[in-house]
Amino acid sequence: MLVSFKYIHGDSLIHRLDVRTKLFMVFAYLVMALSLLDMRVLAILFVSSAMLWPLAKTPMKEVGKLLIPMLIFIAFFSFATNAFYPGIAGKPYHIVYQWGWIKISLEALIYSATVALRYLAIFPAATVFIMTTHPTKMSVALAKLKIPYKLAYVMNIALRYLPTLALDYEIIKNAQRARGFEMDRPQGGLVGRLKAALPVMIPMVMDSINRAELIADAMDLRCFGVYKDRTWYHDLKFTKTDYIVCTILLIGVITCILLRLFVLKRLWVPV
Amino acid sequence: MKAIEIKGLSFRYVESEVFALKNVDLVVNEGEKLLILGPSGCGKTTLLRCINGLIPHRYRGELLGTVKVFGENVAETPIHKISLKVGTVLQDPESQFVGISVEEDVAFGLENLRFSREEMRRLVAESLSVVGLTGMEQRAPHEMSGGQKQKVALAGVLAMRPSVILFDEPLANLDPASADEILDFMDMLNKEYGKTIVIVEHRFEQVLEKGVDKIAVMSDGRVVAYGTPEDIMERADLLVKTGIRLPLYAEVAYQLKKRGLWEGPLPLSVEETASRLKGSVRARIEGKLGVPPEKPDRKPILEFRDVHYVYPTGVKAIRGVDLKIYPGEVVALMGPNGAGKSTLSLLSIGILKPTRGRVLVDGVDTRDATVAQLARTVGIIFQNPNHMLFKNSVEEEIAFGPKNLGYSEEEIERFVEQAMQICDLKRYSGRHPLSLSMGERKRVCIAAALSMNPRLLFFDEPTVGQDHRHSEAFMSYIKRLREKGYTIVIITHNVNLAIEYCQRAIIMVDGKIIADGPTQKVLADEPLLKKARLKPTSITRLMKALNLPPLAITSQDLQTLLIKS
Repeated sequence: MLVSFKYIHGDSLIHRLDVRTKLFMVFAYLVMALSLLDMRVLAILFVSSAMLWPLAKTPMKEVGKLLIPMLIFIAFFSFATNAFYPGIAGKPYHIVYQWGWIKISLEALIYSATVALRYLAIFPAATVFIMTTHPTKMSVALAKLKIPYKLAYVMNIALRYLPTLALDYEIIKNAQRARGFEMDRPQGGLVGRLKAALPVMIPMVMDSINRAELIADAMDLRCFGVYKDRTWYHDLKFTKTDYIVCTILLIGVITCILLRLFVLKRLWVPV
Repeated sequence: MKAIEIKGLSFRYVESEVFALKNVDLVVNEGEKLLILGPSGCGKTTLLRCINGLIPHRYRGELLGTVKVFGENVAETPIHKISLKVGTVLQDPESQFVGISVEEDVAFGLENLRFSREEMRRLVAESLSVVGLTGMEQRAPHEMSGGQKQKVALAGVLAMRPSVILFDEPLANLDPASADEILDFMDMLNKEYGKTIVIVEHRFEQVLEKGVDKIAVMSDGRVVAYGTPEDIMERADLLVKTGIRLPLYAEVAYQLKKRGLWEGPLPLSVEETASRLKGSVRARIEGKLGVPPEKPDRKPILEFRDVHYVYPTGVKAIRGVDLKIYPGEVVALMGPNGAGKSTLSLLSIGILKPTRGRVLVDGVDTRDATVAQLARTVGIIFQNPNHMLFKNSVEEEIAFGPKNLGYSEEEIERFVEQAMQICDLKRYSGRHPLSLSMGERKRVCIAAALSMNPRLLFFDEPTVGQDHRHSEAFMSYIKRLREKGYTIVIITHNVNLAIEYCQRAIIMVDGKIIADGPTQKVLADEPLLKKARLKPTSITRLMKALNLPPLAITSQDLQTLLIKS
């Protein structure tokens, strides 16, 4: 899953946005979605967020792979954690179902659905961010946002070695399969599963440790960490479009906060 | 001017009790090309680390003596100042890429030294054009071929404009054609750009062919011989004793010399050998050569019938392969990277099932059998033992396979015992596999495959990255298996290895078999080998130069023939 969900090279309005703008975009959607408990506004947010997909020319096949596990995850967490607490959205509440000590109120159901919609509204923005942002440019952006470059580079290295690790995994799995080992038949429980993964995990870990040593040598030889700062081959440019997008997002954020403070103070219950 | 000056250098790693380098003196003049030869563990890599500053700046230990680069003491100069003078291309380019794209990787050192963006763009473009990778700026380094990876690594070093470039076994993972390309680049950097070049490499013959100014031979932490190629060749006894393989043509001359049939110094090229031999040895050896291949009337142990295989990514790895392997054969499977050799082995054990066509193992269609069932007939010994070892003792490691295959307790015990016997591992049975040396680990891998009681064994690049002595030791086990009647397929780029150990050679290119026949003939066919990025050995070239039928035979065979005639 991790490997399939990554930067996809392309050109679109979103690709061309400055990474900082995109970071702000994800942040803005987070704030907007978390500030309100009103399905009407959240629905608008979701639609606007989902419009980013076509704008970024995102291959929907890639999103689709992630969508179903994501939906299950969202549904589970939203409902399992909220639906069984009748008073979660305050009093009064109306019980719609009761079985023994389990009580489900209309308000709790709506609350759960609202929370689910919150997550849904953030999801497209987050996927678009990851799929349109070149990892190195992300490091550059972080460095420009005053995050130490050694830290910013960690992610870069991780992403660089992801395909190498995937390849190693494939080779190691094949080497163990040739010895009659099958990963796909784990025997019972978490411990059993972990044990079953050892023939692949141990060589993976040993290999990575060796490799880390070599990478460290290579980086030292090429002067990584010599100075407190460094320059970047890639440049970030804040263009007119970036200003426009950031302004729109800022208006959105302010509107949502004002709505929360003065108009939509509580959970919206349609009836 | 002296580019590198090493005086009385000794070094002991902090975690080790013995010195890795012992009183080394060495001078490399500016613009020189130096080759360092020596068996694994002789201290070559440590020496390079002392020159590029990794020692003492990154690796701690006891350091005696001095290393100066253009007059500056390495131990007293910060590593980033040294890297502007000395660039290093490490052994495995895959592990030294930090950039996600080629251009970023090349720019990495410049970024760290705070070059301006304009300067970086200029230097990156310049370095990429030197190595011939202009136009590939956006490619991902890890998706490129072995030779291209090496060039990206080289461009990254060139961008920092060092005067000295160190190469640590640059040819280890390359096919002969790519290796020649890299050697040509070194030559160009040396001649056109005046760079001082230091190469550490096992492939003596191939480096020598492109010419070097000086050679240093290392053994057990010391420089035991130093001089021009002519000087070094005069000390052939020492080279052989140190465990360095002479060029094949020189090997012939060396043996002849022992019998008094060769006078004067050993030759430095095929041409020299031929011109010296032409006068003294008259060879009429047709008819004595070319053992006709046995016509096997037995049932094949492995059969491919019009097999196609397409990876889920859409890569067509195998495109119509027909193949029969007979019991007892020793076959070399050769071809460039990505030709489908490894895919072929994975199809044979059923890890992959053909997209079209059929693969039969002992008459059983692989589609109707599990990997565990097929592993009772087919075993694969992968290239890197570290990709397989995970148990706490050698014995457990070897028993892992047969246990998975559901053999009975007595059978497992018997097979493990047998496997340890064949691979001389009995005294290591309780040791942790990762505490063993690389050569011993490789033997554990053979034993781990043998214990499943297979009859057909695939060896994937059995000798890559190993020195001559270790390769020979490892191959002696393959020889032993051959004598015990195992059917063996060796996947390799090493033409001479194929000639020495295999009767039959199969050449694959682009997922198809383009040649299949007796090693002697197939591996002498120059145009054919060229298609597979291979080269005939110097023995074949020598025979051609001697107006003998150009066959692919071993130096041993040629020398025997010359002595007889």
